[in-house]
Amino acid sequence: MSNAQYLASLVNSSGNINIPVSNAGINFNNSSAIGASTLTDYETGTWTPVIGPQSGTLTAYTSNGAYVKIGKLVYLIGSFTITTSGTASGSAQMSGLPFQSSSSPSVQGEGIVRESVNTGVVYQITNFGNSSTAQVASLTNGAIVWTATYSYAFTLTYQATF
Amino acid sequence: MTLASTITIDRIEVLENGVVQVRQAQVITDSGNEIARNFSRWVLTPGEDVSTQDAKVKAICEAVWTSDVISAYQAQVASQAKV
Repeated sequence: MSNAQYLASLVNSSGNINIPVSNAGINFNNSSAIGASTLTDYETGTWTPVIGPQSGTLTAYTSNGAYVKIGKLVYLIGSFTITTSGTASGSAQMSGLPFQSSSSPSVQGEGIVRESVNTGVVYQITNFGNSSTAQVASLTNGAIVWTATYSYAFTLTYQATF
Repeated sequence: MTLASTITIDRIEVLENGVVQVRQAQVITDSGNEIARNFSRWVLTPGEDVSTQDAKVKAICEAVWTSDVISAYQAQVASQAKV
């Protein structure tokens, strides 16, 4: 089979190119490190942010999220809206991220948050290495506002384990 | 034209520290031909309540999450610096 015939055999009836070997990908021949220059994954989908307060109890909220994963890089967008605040206070603890973050290199994933209904105030979101959780806090690591109708939209980028 | 929707757990990934990544696929078909596939994901950490998870996911978590795995994961979380 010629190279052209082999490449043609990878294209399915929908016109998509399928990589037939698990964990194989597209190797960009621009580096001596094959593992570091092989694109092995691309995926898009949805996830549901689970929100809890640093202190107290949050009575009700709504949330939604979407993700794009390109290789190890995970890009998240999402939002959560306070419906009934209860006794919630402090920063927001977010779980339910779609992928565990990598601990190597040991870096934090960071992103930006904006209260998009009432104030337009900007906050930060941090994903700590080796976890599927994140923290939403003020820019000085303080509390967010837990008031009904407050809605926080965010983006977060981090590195997954594979 | 007959549209149908099927939801399945199509990927269960066990990481080195026992964390389980789950992918759910919703496949839309038209007269048996796939016309769309959407993914949704979540992560389960050692020791977490999995009673409401899919049976296969639950079985894998219960097999992987020994007391040693849970203890090691909790120690790992506790050791993470949060500044």
